[in-house]
Amino acid sequence: MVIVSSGDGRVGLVVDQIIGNNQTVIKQLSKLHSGIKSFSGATILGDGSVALILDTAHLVAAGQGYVDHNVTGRAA
Amino acid sequence: MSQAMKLVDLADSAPVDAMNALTIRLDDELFAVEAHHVREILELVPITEVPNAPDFVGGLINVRGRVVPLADLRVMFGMNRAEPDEDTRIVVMEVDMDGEPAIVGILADKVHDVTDIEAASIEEAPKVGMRWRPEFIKGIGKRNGGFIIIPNMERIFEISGARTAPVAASEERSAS
Repeated sequence: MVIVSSGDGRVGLVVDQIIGNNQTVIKQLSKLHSGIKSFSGATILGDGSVALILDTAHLVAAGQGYVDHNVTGRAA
Repeated sequence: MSQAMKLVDLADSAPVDAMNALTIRLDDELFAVEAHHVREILELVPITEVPNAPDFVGGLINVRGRVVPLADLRVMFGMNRAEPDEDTRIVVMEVDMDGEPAIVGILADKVHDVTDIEAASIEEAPKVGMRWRPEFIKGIGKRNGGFIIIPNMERIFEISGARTAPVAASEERSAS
């Protein structure tokens, strides 16, 4: 589990594996992928592979929206 | 003279003069892309899948330190998507995306050669009786008794760009 701070709270993200820790340069996604809001960009790792960069703020907001809609919504 | 007239006529339907083209095979059809838009041809490299991306541009590749989207034209033409084999290549090329040049990789089942396709042999795609959407085809050339499809890259990438919009909209909706 990776804990990220988002706004004034902290959120845990469930991950399958932690591969490593990198300092990277964020590269913007092209127009073809600009509609996908869950990623803020991509980067190239040491082994030459491309990694996507999660937009955690967007993920947390989307998760919050899901909870509001499906959990709170159902209770009401 | 009649040849010259023909060239002028063809100018309206896009291809002009002889087209210097790189020919590639997708599924069982021959395609031609303009050679001067081609940057390089790569063997298959590791592809990073992009979740929620349309099938047409489902991946990213590293081209000399640059993150480049990988497009599969076979999706746009409703073709079989065979597993990559030893002939599979990635054609890195420059396309016009909404009026701005952009670098993309295109999967090819096989890369053939660079050839000149005479403008006189290029015909407009028929509006009926075709397996493919006519707006994605700039023209159809002939060589050695076979057909070569000239895809309309600007059109294909313009539409695929618009296609990601509904994904974004639904994500926004679920977020609100």
